[in-house]
Amino acid sequence: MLGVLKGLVTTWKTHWRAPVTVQYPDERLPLQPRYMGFPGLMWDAEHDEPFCTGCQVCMRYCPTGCMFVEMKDNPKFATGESKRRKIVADFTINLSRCISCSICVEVCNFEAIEMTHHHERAGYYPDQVAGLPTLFQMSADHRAGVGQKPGHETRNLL
Amino acid sequence: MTTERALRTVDMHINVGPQHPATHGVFRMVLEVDGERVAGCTPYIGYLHRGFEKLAENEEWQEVIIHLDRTDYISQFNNELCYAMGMERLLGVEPPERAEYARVILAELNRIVSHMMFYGAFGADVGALTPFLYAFRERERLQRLFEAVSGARLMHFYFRAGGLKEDLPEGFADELRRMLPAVQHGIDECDRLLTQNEVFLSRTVGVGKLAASEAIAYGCSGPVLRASGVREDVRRSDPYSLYPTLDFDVPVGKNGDCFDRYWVRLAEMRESVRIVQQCLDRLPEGPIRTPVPRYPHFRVEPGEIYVHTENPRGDYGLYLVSKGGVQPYRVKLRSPCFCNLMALGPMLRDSYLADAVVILGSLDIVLGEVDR
Amino acid sequence: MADLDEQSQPTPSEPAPPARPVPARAPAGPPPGERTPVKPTAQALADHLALAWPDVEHHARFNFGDIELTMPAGQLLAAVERCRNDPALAFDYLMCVSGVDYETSIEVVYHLYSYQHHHHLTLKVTLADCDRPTLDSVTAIWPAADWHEREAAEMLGITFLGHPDPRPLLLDDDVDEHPLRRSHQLVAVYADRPGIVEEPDDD
Repeated sequence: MLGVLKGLVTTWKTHWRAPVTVQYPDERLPLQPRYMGFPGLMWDAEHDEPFCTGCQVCMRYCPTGCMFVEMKDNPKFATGESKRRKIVADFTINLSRCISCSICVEVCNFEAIEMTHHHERAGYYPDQVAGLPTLFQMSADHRAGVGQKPGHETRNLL
Repeated sequence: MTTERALRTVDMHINVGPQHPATHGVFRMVLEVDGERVAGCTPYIGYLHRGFEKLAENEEWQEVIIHLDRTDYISQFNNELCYAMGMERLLGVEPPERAEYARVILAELNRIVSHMMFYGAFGADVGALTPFLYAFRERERLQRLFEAVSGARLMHFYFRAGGLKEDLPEGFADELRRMLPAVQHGIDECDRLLTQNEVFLSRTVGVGKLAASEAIAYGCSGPVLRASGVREDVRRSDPYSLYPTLDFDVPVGKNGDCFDRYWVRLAEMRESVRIVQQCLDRLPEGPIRTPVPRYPHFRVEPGEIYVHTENPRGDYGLYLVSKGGVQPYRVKLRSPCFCNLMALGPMLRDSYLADAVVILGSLDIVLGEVDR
Repeated sequence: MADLDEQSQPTPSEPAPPARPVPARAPAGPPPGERTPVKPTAQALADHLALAWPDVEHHARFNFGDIELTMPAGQLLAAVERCRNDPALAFDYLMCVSGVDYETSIEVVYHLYSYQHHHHLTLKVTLADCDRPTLDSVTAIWPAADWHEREAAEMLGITFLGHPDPRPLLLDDDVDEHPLRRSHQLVAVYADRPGIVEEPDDD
């Protein structure tokens, strides 16, 4: 009998606490600044082209093999507008296979890829593939969201 | 008229799992039941086998850490610590002091998080669903801290050979100092909620006894071994990192039953809070990485080492063989759950069928680590 | 990186980024395992072994402060029995049994610890016959070896004589390969990679 009363007292006390949960799709908890979602490609506004040269190092180091990268000659190099001789031609990431491990960010020599805060990729297809436009958009959204400038702390660590 | 034929009994086999909530993952056991008593148990594992050891042979040294996060996916910092220490000893480098302190703080917080997970799941196994919600509320506090530190809630990839990936975030120490009393209070609250509960006591005291000699023979470690009264902890017996300089107790049980295994873990959480408190008081400023070569040049000298740490689940060991290449030659993981699970058969013998779930829950297995 | 061979090694013709300081490698000297000071418990153990084991053929060395014995397969049972029963050794805790494929030979490594004396020992057995490696089981002395040996048996194809339950443990019953042999190659499972097509983005 005493135990039941004690339990009720606990229930009564806990009843008036502020809730710690939120209703997910309507309300979201803020993400921490370092949060690692899916990778996105950064845009070099100075030269109006991506930082990525398509060197494929991220593709080779990706533990799940979710990336595909191709490089091409940079047309802006011929006109002298840019110092990059090669530039990314095609970059796809299969976000269904990406495990957000940030290895691609750490092996990148050109600081061209970053972990964005995008992490929701539920969909109707098994392969959620992001191509170049999506990847640039993800990074741009992320920059706009957290107010960062290109160039970040976690690069080149591995 | 009672004939011999009418009295003849047949043993019944009951299949539990692999998809059964009480098995904490994809574990299957076939119980041989004589009436209500368990006469024998045949465990089947391997449903979550991902070939971690083979994958590690094909990855570069530092990349293997992401797979280690996925072995015991509730105590990632401890796993990473073990592997990072192994690499450092093979390389002959020492991490800077700040990195050591940060590692111990994170590993001990991770122990609290892991034991909270056990607490919640064990309560649910016994039939009390409320503790699960309380445990997860407490756990969430620390998970958000981990997210701020490493950028991920579970798969951190934060410890490296020679230190840490990046420095602790700004205000980490103040935030944690502010949070610790709340964590302590949360542990006390969990303690009050379950430990004195009569139903809980009657389900756990004297259930699934494991004698100390048996626990040692089956290679049990961690809370399972200590509950049987063996005062053995890798942090004390083969000290690593900062543990020789820290003041903490190793709680042990007496009877080796389910309640003792529960109680030891609860007491360990309090010790972890003490350790974190001490580290926080001494946390120095300074560099967080001893420079080691970057990825294409990262090589480890030929040699081999067995390195082990005290994980929340027990003695987590890694046998690393290097042949001087960019990839490890062999990584063998000695998983504590794997060895603790071997003692399940002797523990289940002659217990009630209804207690089987409680006994399995008290081992606190993580199938990602058992199957690797 | 399972399919490294399939991919050409691209060479970025971009000028290399500014060289980051790569610290000099540790000076050449003894292997890392021998640079560590020997633990006092290991030294005492080594002295005891030299006295008590004249008849067991073994080779001893120190590795990271602990003692490591290498012995032929025939000596294993005699050695482990002494390890368990000699009161000065009393190794009651078998931490780990690992099999390593060195391509020309297979090595089985036992890591032992004594709760009584708090000392560690590594036992190594080299199996020269890679096609049908065979070794005595130590499950009668340490029940803890049970699953470790089953795992080594299926992963490396070692037969443990006298094992009470030699079924496969982690793999399916019908797997007839030994995945942890060096000759077993990981296959690239993502063969569809170049053909990936972009999904129309609705937002």
